[in-house]
Amino acid sequence: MYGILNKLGIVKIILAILCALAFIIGIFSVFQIYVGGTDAISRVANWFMAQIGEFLLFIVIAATFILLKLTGKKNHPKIYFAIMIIGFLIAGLNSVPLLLTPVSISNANVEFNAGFGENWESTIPDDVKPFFMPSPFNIPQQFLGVPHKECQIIENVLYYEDPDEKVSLYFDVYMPKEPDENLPGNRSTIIKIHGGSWVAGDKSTGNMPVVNKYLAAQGYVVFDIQYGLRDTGSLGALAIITPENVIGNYTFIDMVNQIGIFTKLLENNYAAEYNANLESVYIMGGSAGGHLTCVTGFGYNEDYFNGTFSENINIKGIIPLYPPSSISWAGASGLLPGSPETDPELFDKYSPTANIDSNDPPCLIYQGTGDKLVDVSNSIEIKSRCDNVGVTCCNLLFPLAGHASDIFFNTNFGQVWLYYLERFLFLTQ
Amino acid sequence: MKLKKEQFKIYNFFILLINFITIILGIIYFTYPIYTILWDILGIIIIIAWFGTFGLVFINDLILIKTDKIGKKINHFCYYCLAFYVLAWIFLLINTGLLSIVHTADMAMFTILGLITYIGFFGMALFGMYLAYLDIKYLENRDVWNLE
Repeated sequence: MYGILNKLGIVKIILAILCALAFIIGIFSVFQIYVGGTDAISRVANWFMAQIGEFLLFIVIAATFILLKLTGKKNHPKIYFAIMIIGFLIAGLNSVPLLLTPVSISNANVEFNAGFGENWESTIPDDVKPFFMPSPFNIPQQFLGVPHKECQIIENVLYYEDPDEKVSLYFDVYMPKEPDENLPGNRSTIIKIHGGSWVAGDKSTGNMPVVNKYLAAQGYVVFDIQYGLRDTGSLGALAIITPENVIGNYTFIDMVNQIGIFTKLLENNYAAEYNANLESVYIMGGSAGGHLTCVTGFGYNEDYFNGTFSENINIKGIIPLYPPSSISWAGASGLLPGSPETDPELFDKYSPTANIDSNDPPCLIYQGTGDKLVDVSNSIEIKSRCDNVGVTCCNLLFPLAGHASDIFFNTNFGQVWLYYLERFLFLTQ
Repeated sequence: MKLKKEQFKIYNFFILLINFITIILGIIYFTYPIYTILWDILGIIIIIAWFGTFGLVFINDLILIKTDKIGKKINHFCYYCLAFYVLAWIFLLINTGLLSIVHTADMAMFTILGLITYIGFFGMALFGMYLAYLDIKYLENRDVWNLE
């Protein structure tokens, strides 16, 4: 062994170690994509690994060729072929989420056909199509990214203060550049609610500003809002994107109330100030924000929430991403007072599914089938409830995609999602 | 079965050409970031160029006489090429990762991300082209290649 190392030279040894490291990362990624775990590292890895698989594919292939060169076919034929097989196996398994993109597109088409009829694509006028992505997926965008779209942005507008909790909540607003008459968005309003397990997260950097800009450039007025979070003492890695001013001892009730306050201010002040169309409003959010999206959107016209929200806003669509549907655990974590046994109505009304009725607007769901944090059964349950009462619901399932797998918006998951999101928004306005 | 010199020459010209097209289409992609059919063409071209260059490195490894001075030089360049590919993919990965979350007003970050993307993407094409150029340049030297 020493002889081989000595022969290779120190540079080659370092190169071999780096290549072995690439293999280890590749194997870790394969494990996370196909098996996963419940520990903290696995949960974070679940966000990224399926999204970066195609990059690991090429890194591992390059590492394989380096190792093959270092080994030499003549010198060590068995090791040579072993490296070749292992390397290509790791690379191949990492590429599967990308290779399954046609399945994501096919799933989405089936959902849209069921929700909007077989000819839904032909209902989009020709003069609108140039504003949309021409195809659900393209390779250069996947690897090279796309520039952020141009729009107007006003940041950090204060909308709520709670002196007792020393909490102040702000929003950012993304608007189309003038003139915007011909844009498909027609200044429809999108209220975006960030994720973070109700204890962390933020607007802007924590809520995909690139998508906000994209939608604003299409003529939508996007309000990216903060809401009060529950103070759990330690936020771990999420502390990086969680500002101090949003942390208090808040429950789901407070969070929904704060969103309600925002809708009232939207009606009374912000709609006029930012020229937002209140006849066409969407609620959109991921993960914890997906839960709040569902409670707000489906509960908007429920008697239980009378007085909570503005009465002069017309909700045209509900867009939860990887939303948890069961909240029976919320009592134990202090996010709701009591328990499902002591206050069944409260737990029922703050669950994403209980408020779904035939009067609700269409719903578009993003869900990765490899999500280890919010299982795919959650979105299936929401979809099932919608179907039962006749509410249009398109559940876009992305094979092997993990939690928050749309976060890299130019990857295969993000591209397909954006393609159908912009069409959903237009079709339901 | 040994590879014929003419086949190897054609393959090298192909790699040279496809990487050159990658650069041209890449410039169009970055300077005119609005979808055209060229995006789809670029998508196919870059995949062929990347895998094609891997293939060229692999073939070089099989047919280069590494004890020869020039053979050694080309062999070393193959290492640089592969190492740069790894680095380039890390650059592209960083760009993808940060592009979605970068703050709207962070122009410095946008500039850095743009820069590493250009270095990664165009660098890969240039490495591929230079390797093909080296192969073509020394193809007539019988001491360098183990060809038919």
